[in-house]
Amino acid sequence: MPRYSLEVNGESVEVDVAADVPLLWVLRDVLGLTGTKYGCGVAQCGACTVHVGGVAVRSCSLRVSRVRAPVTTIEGLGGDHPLQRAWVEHDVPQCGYCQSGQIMSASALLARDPHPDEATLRGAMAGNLCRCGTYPRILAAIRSVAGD
Amino acid sequence: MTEEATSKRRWRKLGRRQLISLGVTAAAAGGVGLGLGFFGGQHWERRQMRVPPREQPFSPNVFLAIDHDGTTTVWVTRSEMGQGVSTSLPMIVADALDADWRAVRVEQAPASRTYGYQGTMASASVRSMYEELREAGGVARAMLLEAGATVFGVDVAACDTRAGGVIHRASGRRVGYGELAGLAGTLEVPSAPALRDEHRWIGRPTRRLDARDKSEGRAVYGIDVRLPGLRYASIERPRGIGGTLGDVAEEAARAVDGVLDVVRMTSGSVAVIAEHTFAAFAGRRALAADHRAGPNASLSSARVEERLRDATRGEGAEVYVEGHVRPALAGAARTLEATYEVPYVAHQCMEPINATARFADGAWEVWAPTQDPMTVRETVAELGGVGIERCTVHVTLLGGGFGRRTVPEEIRQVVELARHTSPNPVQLVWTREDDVQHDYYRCAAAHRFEVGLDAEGEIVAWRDHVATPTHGGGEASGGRVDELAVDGAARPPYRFGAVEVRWSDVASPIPTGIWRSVGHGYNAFAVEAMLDEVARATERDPLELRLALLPADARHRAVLERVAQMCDWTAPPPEGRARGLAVHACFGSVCAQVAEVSVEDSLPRVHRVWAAVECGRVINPLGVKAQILGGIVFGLSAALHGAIDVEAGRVRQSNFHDAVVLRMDACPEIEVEVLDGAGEPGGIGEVGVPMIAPAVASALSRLTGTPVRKLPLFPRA
Ligand code: FES
Ligand code: FES
Repeated sequence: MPRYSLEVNGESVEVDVAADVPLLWVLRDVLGLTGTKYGCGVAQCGACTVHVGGVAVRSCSLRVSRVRAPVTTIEGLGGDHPLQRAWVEHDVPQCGYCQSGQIMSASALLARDPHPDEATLRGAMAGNLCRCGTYPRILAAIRSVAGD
Repeated sequence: MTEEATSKRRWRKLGRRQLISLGVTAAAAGGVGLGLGFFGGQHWERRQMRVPPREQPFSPNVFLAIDHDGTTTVWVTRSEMGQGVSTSLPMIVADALDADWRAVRVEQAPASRTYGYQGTMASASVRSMYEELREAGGVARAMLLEAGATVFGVDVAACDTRAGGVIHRASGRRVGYGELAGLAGTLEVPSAPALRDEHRWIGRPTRRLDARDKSEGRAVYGIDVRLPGLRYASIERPRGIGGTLGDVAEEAARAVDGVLDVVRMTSGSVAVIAEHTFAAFAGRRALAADHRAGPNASLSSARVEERLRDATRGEGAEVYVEGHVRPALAGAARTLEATYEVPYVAHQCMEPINATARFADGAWEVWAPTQDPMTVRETVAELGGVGIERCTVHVTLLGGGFGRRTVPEEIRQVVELARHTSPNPVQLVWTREDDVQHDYYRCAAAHRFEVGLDAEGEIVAWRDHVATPTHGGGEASGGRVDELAVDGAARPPYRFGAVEVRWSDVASPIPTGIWRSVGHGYNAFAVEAMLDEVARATERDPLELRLALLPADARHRAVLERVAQMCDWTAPPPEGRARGLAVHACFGSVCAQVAEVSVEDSLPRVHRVWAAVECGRVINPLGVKAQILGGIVFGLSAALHGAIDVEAGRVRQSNFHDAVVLRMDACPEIEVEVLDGAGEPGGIGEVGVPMIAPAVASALSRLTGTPVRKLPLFPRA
């Protein structure tokens, strides 16, 4: 079996899996990082969002063999990220299942555009579904960090 | 330790004298209660047990325990699926206990009779637990007071409690609950403690206790359970409803990297067991299964919808009658007739359906994100072939429930799989496609209205014939009314003169189940949108019409008036927009909503929504707001996009690209206000859902001049 070297949350890891296994399942089932969620498997829901080289990607649709940059998952965000604090402050989660992906998408957005306008913000977050309907609080939490 | 053993041990400790003083005999041994104690008969026996066994020095009942350091653990006996029970239920306990909220931590109760009923449905968690949890906290507080008085060497009456401690009023001395836990644990449990009238936690806006875990990726859902030696499985099942699987390429599946086993299930489906979830999915694809249609090869939801429409013109069963509707219709100056329709809708919980099981040493252990732990446990015992005391069911967090997780289908599957992997545990994961195509759908429904108006335009007759598929997909009921199917239409709250509501059911093999707000969802859509038709036809303001038709004591009035203030109802909406209004009472609460809508590229766009809710006594105003808001998004998603189509026996949709749900870019601005309610707590989890569809449909009808009588409002994907 092929062996892949990855950097995940600042640590180097080696995994033995087939080349076509998506990063999502390597994180969840091989490395035990279950904060990254499976929701659709086809880049439609955003639950699996992680950062690869600082960019938000849908880990369900990225084969492990194509990961070429350091990976950050929700566990690697540290807990003290301003967005994570804002999420608690704004009481954002309901079931919470989508929230790892929401936070990873929002943090990648703010990293490249610290003060997005409303359309950019909504557009950037439109790939992350929430069946509990927490969208308004997500927006409020992001706005509180983006400073408008 | 088994429940029974724990129970016996506790029995000995309690002693017969105390049991009799509590008004209970040894009910566990089949004795007869002498009277009702504090929890009453068996209740009491049950509440005295500890499942699982506890280390804390003070645990006067099954719901709470206090440790020496003051840590106050509350066992939550309802499933946390986003609706906030793991915050609101502890708030009730903390309030009666007068606890220090910072010392409260929450445990999810495993399935056990000791906790009483554990199902999470019908928006009933707070409603059904309120008194019991108040008593549970009140008992503990009474015992701590007694312990505190003993420590101070004073009378109990000279003491009070304050946020996690007992105080001696005269001297101001204080001793924490933790310091008293050891002593309190030796005291007799009082039978009828006085409960505080003052509320420190009930009614206080309180943030969720689980928000941090859920924002840091640490919350554990069913799909996140990880165990030593865990196998992962996925099941290839017949694609069509009632279909079968022919040949499968078993060897090809076994050749997939990471696949461990391929198993033919008793149902005829084929499971792939693997080292990781993706290998199980890939193994399924490699099976290249031959999907054969069964007896439903020509089944079509369009045909079911047609039969429902036809059924509304049939005889049907009587649901509700007031006066004589036929003569009233015959004598009416004008009659409005309309047919309303909704399609089948899927749940699409964010967390795909899953369950984990281990069978080892003759005992079962199951981890399930379930709304019905007791049914899960019974299912495991039955299929697992062991006594129920050898079945442990852990309730994990649920990534959404919405009614879907009341059905134990995946439990039956995982029990069968765990026999193959035993002693290793196995986690079964449904793909999103499995979820969308094999759901227990919210049923399709049709309403046919005949509304008679007199010469002044007043309603003198209201005839509503509801038709739904037979619940559960079996044979038609033969005239016995299914209460759930007609909920929300059966008794209109308005004074309509003569009223007749009838119901017909149509047998169909398309599986149906409960879906957030159940019958209220589709029935309130039809009733409220029809009432708006009357308002339009008679050129009356829809708010004024409702207020005129509602009895003086209707709870609807206050929320209608409030929502009208919130949106400044009498002011015209911005250019190009229209507003629609709806109100509905369900699950012990009542909510009014206004939607402001425009049409862009011939598609509806909802800009703003205002909601006012009255749900009796409010435990957590933040939680109530979140549920109404979430209910609006959920209901709006279904109103705009929700539709499941069955063609040639198969569900056409498969994932979020065609089973579309509302996204951030289309989410309206939503304002929610919670009115002070006097009565007992009402339900809240489902209450926000039913009003949004009629509010939006009415706004669209006003905007376009054409009545909107059919959901979804977007073209079907
Ligand atoms: S699981 Fe990757 S986008 Fe849905
Ligand atoms: S919080 Fe439940 S899906 Fe977003």
